Amino acid sequence: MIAVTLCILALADASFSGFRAHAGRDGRIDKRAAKANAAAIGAAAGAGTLIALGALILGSIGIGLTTYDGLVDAGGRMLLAYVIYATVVACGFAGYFSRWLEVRSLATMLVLGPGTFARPAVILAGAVAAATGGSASVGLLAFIAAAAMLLIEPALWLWFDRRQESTMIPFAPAPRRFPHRRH
Amino acid sequence: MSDRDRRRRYPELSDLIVDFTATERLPVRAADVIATLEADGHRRSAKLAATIRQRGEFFDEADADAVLLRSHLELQRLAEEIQHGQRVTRLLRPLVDMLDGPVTIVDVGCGLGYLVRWFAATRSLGADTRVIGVDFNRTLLDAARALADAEQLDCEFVAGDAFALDQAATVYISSGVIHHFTSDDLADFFAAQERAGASGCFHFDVAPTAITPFGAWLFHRARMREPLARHDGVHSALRAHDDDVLVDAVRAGATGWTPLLFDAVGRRMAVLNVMRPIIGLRPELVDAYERELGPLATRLSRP
Ligand SMILES: C[S@@+](CC[C@H](N)C(=O)[O-])C[C@H]1O[C@@H](n2cnc3c(N)ncnc32)[C@H](O)[C@@H]1O
Repeated sequence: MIAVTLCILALADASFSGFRAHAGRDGRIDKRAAKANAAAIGAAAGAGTLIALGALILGSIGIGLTTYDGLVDAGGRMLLAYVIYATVVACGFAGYFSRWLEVRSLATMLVLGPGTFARPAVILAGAVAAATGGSASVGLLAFIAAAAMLLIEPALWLWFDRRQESTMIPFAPAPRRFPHRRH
Repeated sequence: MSDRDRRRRYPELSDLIVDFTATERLPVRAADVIATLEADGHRRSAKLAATIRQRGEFFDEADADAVLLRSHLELQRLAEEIQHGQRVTRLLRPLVDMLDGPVTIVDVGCGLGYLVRWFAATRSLGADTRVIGVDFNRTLLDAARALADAEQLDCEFVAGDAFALDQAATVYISSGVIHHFTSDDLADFFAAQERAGASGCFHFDVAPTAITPFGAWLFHRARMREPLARHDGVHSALRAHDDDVLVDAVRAGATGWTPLLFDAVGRRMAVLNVMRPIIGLRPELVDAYERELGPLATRLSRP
């Protein structure tokens, strides 16, 4: 249960990373399809990350570095930190889809913007919580998992910056020559 | 702090790395810009300016353009998030509905033309309203046109200077532009619009509240990744004009217009006030506009 919930949260977080990595790289007005695509790419990156982390964790049990129970305990502490954050963000989203512009503004200003800002700290806090009271190897795994989640977005920046050549650069004209004044 | 001090204290690199006039583009000597920034104590700004490629002694135009285009795309993202289109529409549409005959809205300093294209895509100002974007940066204008073409939007983009407008309009609007001008310049800015025969103007800019500098910093960190966009976003919030400066400038420049404020700083929760407009209207329109605004009229003030 704990593992499944953590995986769901990680996938949701990764799809938001995809959304954010695409945001600000596509100048069109109607981007619904592109945003959905970006979220899907984020989720796929998240799934890949989870598979790699899963293999690492299973391996650590296999070679006796960690125990299943120790991991579940640590996962529970990690989950607590993330569930609080996820609940706040979910409320922010509820506000963002309200029909009143003022409520939507409040959601952005008070929750969604600060939420993105705080995200790295929250992810690390989850790792700290997991590491506290666990074995050294469990702690190490928790920090590897946190680092992997944090790296998804910058990795997707690179992806979308390269893709930008298809969504933006054609719109950026080749350098134009204007009459140059001599000083 | 005087305007000049404030502009020197919080320089925006987007003003410095390219130089457009109404008719031409001038090369910018990189060493001069960097030296001036350093002399004024802006080590970080100078370093950032130095990251732009140079060609001979000048900033490489293609590289400066690419940085500006990326920054403006990120700016569009912020406008999308704060739902700027809806914000402008709810104040502008009542006026458009009041006016007889065809209405032309001109967005001054339109950049990538997000707002103009949004109006064209949503037709939120009515199907007959013409929307035109004006900017002196031809690179941004070309990108705006290409983006409009890509979505087959019915809008126009014209090169021009905000102080010598030859694009006639019923109403002039702008977003995030007026902090680029000193208060003396602002009077000329409004004067040019009244002279051009417009019925009024709505110029939106960052509201300088107590939390603005922190909020701007946080949002530009959270939402932007182009270093210049982050840098300028924070400095623009620090340069934002106070309400009374804007009101005085309308009075001084557009002597025939009545200045109005919507969400004057301090009147509502600062957090809702990110982009608030200074409004100038022909006096005979003010009462009717207030009626047409409905419940929102309570947030309008006649300073
Ligand atoms: C901060 S950007 C805002 C762009 C756009 N309105 C937006 O909200 O994304 C300021 C814009 O004003 C333009 N600008 C500044 N001074 C101008 C002038 N004197 N005449 C025309 N455009 C000007 C710049 O080229 C730039 O595109």
